[in-house]
Amino acid sequence: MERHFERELEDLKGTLINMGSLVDRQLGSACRALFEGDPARAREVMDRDGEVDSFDTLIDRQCMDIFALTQPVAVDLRLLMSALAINSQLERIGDIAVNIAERVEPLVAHREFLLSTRLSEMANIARIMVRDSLDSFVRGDAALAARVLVSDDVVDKLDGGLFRSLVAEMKVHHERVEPAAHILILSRHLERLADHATNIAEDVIFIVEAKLVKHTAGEGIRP
Amino acid sequence: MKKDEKVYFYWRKAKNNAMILFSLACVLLALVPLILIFSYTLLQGISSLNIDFFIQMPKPVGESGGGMANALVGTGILLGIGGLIGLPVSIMAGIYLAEYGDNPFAATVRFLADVLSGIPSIVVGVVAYVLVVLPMKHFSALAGGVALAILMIPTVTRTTEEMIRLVPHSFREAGLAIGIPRWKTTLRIILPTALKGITTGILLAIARAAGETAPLLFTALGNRFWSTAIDQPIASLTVFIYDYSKSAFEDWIRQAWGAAFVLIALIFVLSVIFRIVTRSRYAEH
Amino acid sequence: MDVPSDQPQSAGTTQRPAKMVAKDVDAFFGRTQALKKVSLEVATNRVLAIIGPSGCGKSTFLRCLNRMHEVASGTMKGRITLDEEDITSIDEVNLRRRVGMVFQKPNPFPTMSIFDNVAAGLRFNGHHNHKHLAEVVERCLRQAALWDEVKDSLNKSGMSISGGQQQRLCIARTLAVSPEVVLMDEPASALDPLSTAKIEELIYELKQNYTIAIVTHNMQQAARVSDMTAFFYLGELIEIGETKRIFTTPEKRQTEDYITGRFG
Repeated sequence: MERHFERELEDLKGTLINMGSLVDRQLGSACRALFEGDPARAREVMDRDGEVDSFDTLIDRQCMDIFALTQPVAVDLRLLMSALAINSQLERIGDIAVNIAERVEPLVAHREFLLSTRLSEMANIARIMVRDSLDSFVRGDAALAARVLVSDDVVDKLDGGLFRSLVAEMKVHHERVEPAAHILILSRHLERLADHATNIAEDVIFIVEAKLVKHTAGEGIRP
Repeated sequence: MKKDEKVYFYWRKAKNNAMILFSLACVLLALVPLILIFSYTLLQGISSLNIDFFIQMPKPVGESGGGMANALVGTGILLGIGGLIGLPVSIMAGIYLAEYGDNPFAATVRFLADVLSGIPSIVVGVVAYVLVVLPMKHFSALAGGVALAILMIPTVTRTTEEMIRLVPHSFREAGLAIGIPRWKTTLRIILPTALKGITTGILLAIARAAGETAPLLFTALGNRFWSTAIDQPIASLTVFIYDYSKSAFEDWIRQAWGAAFVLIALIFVLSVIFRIVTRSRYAEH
Repeated sequence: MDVPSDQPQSAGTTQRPAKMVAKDVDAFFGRTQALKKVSLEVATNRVLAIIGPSGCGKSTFLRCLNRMHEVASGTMKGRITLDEEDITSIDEVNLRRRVGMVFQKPNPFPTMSIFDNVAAGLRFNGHHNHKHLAEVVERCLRQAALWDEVKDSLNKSGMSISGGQQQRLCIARTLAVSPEVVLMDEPASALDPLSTAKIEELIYELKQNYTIAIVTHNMQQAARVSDMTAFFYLGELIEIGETKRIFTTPEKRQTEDYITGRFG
């Protein structure tokens, strides 16, 4: 039997998806601005962060209302709890997009150096992870979410490799210390990005299969 | 079980069985008069129970045979008149008491009805004599009907009131809440719901009235001949029994027994109907 | 893509005037005072839930709205209006047609069929045209979400259906006289969970065409079903507001204690 408050749950899902789209676009713009050396685009990303924050507040309020008015249980309850968590992850991903945008200007002059590192590869993988984690939420696809969890290892390895190569570079070419430092920080941002995507994927698995896979560091569910 | 418990257990069982046996004995004891009356009247009267008995008029003194057709019909007419006079009044009174009966006037009416039900039937007969026979200057079926009506009124009034009170208040509220006026709610919703209970009350009152003799002696008097006129004396089963049982003729005495059996059977049948009607009412709810 | 903004939620009492307004209502049963200076508005085409512990006066207040308290020998001081007309100046029979009531225990008239039950209000007020009655009966049974279940057995006794169906029958019976307001006194408390859910969804649908006030001791039901909630305690109105707000950030401590189950 369809209950009228099912619409509210659908609305909530819709809002989350919209926020996800926005955040994904922010990320895309930020990375493009970075690798194309486009400060104007970076500026746009920073300006739009307010929208992301508005979504954050809206979703928190929607969740609170649904909790208060409909006493959700089972899958509805898991959805709601995860919605709050995913909301928070998306807001932080939004912040990372801004962090990336902030480093566009200082690196405009060092584009060649930037492109010679594996940062763009990392950025691509991280962005795909974010997108996949959001898709898995939209489609309720636990298998896709599980694959996101696997990619986290790749990003971690790239981050480690980038660290070592940049440190080596800094020891040899002192004039590249400044851009290298920015790139190191960017690498850290991207690594965090992958972590957030992973968290979202874990929440999706919780919603769909009622399995708590957080903090399990690679046991069981990885395909 | 420990030994103490065992002893207690058997003692308890024994007491239980003793009580059951005792209750059974009491029931049988109570049934004895009923069975005695029934079988004795049947035995004594069965010889006169034939078709003629039911459809023939009484034969003149001395002749044997004949029947109590006029008495049967007479009882019917008397009950009919009594019902016509007494039932509408008492049902209306019962409705009034149930629906609007929270004032001193209603309390008085209720009290008087209870008093009335305790008055000996012979006194009621005398009252009907004064009220009807004297003005009319002769005995009549009408007077008998009035006496029976007076006897029926208290029972039917109180039963009607009780049955209407038994109807859950929620139906009353439901009717009022859809904008049906109070009186219409009472008549069209409450009354039909209480109807089964009210009809059993009526049946009970009729059964009682059918067995009355004393009041009829002062009012309807009795009639040897066939008469269905309201303003003339009329025969009745009870008076028939009274008259014939006093006679010297064996034949008549036998007929009295027969009539007695018929009267008992009539009341018995009415009671059975009462049972059937009440049972189906419970099954519904 | 639309940007979320802080639009105020539709408050329910913004544009249109309230359907019923109570001002300083006191109610007495003999010497006992059941309601003390209750003032509130019942918004048009909205569901108002009245909650509170036993004996707080919520049922009494509901019954004042269609003067059913008089049936239990209650008296009322203060003013209640329907469309700005004082209800004591409206003939009570007419008032109860415009302000209908559904009770806690389903009470279809036992001696009547399903059809007759729904038609009762109309029939006993002079409408005898069978075609018209049949139309109304079907319309109301559909509105009460009962038509499909009983359309082939309209002549069966009103008591022959289940409790949940009986309650929907009572709702249809109330709707048949075309009320403007429907009052419900704990309409689902005697029913099983599935029937309760059906009734709740029904209320949600009905508010499009009727104004509804429902008394319930089930707070979760009030949260699920209503737009506005009023909290009563010991005969007084403690707080009234949008349901969303009452159940997330109530203003009064008493309201919060009651809602969280800390008393009552």
